[in-house]
Amino acid sequence: MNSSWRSEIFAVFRKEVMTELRSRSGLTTGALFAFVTVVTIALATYNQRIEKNLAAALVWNAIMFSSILSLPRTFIGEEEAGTGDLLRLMARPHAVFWGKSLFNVVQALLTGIVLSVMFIIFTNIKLTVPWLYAVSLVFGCISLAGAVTICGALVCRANNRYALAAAVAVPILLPLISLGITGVRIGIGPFETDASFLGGVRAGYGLIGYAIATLVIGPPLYAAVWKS
Amino acid sequence: MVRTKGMDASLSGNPDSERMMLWLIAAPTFFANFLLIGAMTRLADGMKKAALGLLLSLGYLCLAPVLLQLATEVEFSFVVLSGPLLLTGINFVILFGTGKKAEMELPALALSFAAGYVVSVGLGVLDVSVRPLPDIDQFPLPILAVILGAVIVTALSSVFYKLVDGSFELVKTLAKIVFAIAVSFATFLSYAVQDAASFQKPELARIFFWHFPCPIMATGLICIGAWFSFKYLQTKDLAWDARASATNELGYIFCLATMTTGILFSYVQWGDWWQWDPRQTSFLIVLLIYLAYFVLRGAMPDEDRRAANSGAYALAALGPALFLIFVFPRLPQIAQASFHPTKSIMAGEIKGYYAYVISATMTLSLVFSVWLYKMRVAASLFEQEVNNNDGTMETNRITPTPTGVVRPVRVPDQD
Repeated sequence: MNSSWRSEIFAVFRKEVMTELRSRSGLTTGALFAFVTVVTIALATYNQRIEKNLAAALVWNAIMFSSILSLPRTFIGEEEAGTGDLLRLMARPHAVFWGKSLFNVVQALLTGIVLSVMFIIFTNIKLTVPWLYAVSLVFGCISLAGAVTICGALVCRANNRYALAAAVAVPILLPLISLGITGVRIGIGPFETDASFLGGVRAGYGLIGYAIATLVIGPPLYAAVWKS
Repeated sequence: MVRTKGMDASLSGNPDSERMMLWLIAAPTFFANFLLIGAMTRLADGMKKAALGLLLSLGYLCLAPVLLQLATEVEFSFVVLSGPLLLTGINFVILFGTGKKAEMELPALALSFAAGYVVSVGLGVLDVSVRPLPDIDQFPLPILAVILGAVIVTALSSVFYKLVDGSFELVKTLAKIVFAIAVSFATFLSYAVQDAASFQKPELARIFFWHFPCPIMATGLICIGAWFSFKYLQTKDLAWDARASATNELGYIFCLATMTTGILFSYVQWGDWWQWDPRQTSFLIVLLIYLAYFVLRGAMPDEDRRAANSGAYALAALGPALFLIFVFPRLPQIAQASFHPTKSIMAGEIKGYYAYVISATMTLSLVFSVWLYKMRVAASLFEQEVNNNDGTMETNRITPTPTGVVRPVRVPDQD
């Protein structure tokens, strides 16, 4: 990556950070949603031990919905503020996509980590394989950010765009969520056999692959719809 | 709940059924060759295209041993298969002898069509008269073989005629008639086969014949739709978007059919309408992906933007859809929990008449899809034409038209 590309990407990233710091709407929405979800789960399962399958599913559902609420804003907000056309004049599509993806990755990771820590504390879950839990969480969040960024870019000029972003993103996120649930479930443990553990490791590989795939196909797809 | 993977109502080992399979392969090959003669005579300079048709025919012939696998009667299969091969050779000679001069056009094609059909049926009847029919409620399978072969070859030859730029209405009309007859026969045959004893309700196992082609077609259409979307994004030609949209609409219909027949299948075999089986669930998500595609299209009034964004979505959704169809149900922990058979075809568990009927329903589904696809694309292209010529197509814009009455329109000639 030459310096021109790098500066363009970081300029877009910096713009997103500045915009977010000014309004704090994305992070606030995501964090609040995550907090409310965890508190609700803790309240609903008060005095009960959550089974690992259920725990993994709950964590990933909370992460997915909080991401869907906050991440598409990067593109949708641009069109609502009327700055989309200006951006199209000033920057190249790949740089815009990478800059916004980078910002969304950071935001998704922050949300995911905060939500996980709160979930572990509130529900008193012990991790058997912490590194697998961490790998699933990190790469799951990166994949999620990549996929939701693509969907946000596709719906940003459609009618009823916020609801549409969720409707369009959820079906393509479900395979990723299933891999994430497998990884987190084995991470929470205890796992019955070595085969289960290997299944968790494979899910981790799957998430890494998914993350790479979304971040690689995203820019050309965005470039294709960039000026439509 | 009884777990039963695949079905075995096999009649394999029955030499008569194998012989019928030979006819299934051989009859259309004869038919193809006669069609080919007609096609070759009307070619002025389309030698390469004719050679392509020839290759098509030969390729079809080469499929025979692969499909047969079990040709135990080597001599018989040699005779049946060498006939079409000889005919192909003769055609090749005719091609080089007359290819650049003869212009027989429609009568030649009609004649060759009729000749091919008569020869195929004649040979089938001759073969059957030598040996007794296999016992399948006295159903004349060779006739089905010939009809099914005719359907396959008609579909292939229509592609061929398209290649040589020919307009061949007769073939189209005949194809529709043959298609209708073939559907009737396939339906009848699906009832005539034996009950699948391994099913909880053996007589209801027949839903499998109509369930199996649906997910295959839906999967294929997802891939083709993504390819058309890619072509649109590459060329920005709205005709590709019309193709992509038509393909995805068909895929959506097949997906719905998969779900419907799958629910029936689940009830018949596992005793419950819906049990969150991984296969059922994964196809439900594929259905949601299709639905999201159409919701996205519906949310964009501008046709260029709609085409670009939905095309990009179709490409982005291809990976997750293929993961859900091929990978997710085979993950070890998921596969253990699933009742759905995964290796019926690869393990050769579908044999005998079950294999014949499934081949027939698969072929008919394919032909039907192509037919619907062509009509849908034609309608979409016409719609685009109307939109592009807005204001010049209405015959009278001054006189208001009463509600519910469609104004006559004229499509301007494209010079």
